Amino acid sequence: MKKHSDLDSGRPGPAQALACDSARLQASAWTDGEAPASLELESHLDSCDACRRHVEELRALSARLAPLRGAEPVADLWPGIRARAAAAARAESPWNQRMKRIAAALIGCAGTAALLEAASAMGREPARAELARHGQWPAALHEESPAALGLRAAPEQRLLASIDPRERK
Amino acid sequence: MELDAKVIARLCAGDIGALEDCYRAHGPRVQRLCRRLVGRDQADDAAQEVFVKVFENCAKFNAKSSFSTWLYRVTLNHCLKRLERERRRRSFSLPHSQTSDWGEAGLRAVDDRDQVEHWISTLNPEHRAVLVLREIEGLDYQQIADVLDLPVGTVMSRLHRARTKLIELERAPRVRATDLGVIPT
Repeated sequence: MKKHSDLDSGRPGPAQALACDSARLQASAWTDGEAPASLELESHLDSCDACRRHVEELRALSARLAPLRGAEPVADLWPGIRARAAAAARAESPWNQRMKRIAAALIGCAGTAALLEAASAMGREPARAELARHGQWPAALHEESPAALGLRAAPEQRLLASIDPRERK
Repeated sequence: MELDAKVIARLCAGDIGALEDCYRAHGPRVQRLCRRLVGRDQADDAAQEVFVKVFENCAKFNAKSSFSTWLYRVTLNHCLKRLERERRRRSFSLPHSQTSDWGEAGLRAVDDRDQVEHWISTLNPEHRAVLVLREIEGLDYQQIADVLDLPVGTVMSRLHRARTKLIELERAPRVRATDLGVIPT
């Protein structure tokens, strides 16, 4: 019978590494009853102490894991699950879904309006600057002077601006 | 135990009573699976989240697989995501003396069962999932492949690697325990 030089470590020798690895892979499925023992596997196990010992270790491991298979007592989690599920259902109720849709639509509208305004301003400003350069657009308006601001201000501010400062007192 | 089609329909319609039926039928198994995958400390929280997910996403269940296979899949995906989140969180926090998800309980492994649970917790999540489904839940390779959406060959090789790692840990328990600080050096 062949013995591996490093049998004590349980590791296959380099020359047999692939064969042993393949045999152990097959042995794992064989001990699970998922694959029949092939002739190659049987002959390998006959000749390889390390792999035979691996099979024994597989069986011992399975026996050691067995206590974990039993039905362990578990806590009743239903009260917590019910509370969480109810909260999730409330969060996704038709009313909340509708409100979310309305909010999303409003945010979308506001965003679109802001984009349109920005695009419009970008298109306006160079044209105004060009006109101002050629004296066809009041420089005061282009430079956003107080006078220009007065023109664009709200009616009450325009009214206030139109009153003589001496009369305001 | 499979859920009745009527219960599944009620569950998908948002009936919380159907969720209770589902929990009573599958809860302990989901809780045990979570315990093996994310550790005792987080298991109950993870199991609660799984059932809330089932409640919210029941419409995604199609009858191509059984309800229990789908539930296993939801549980595993949720636990694996949770482990990944935890791994990322830890990578941004201070180094920890041990790498498992078992927390301090892992260091206090007192009996054989705790020891084995701790070893399982040191496997990488993909290998752990396959091992738990086979060794603890008793699923066959095809069922595991269905749950994890993997080829049977991948299930076989992951299981082989997981077992080999456990055997290595079993061979050198004292060395491992010393590494973890359980046994003073």
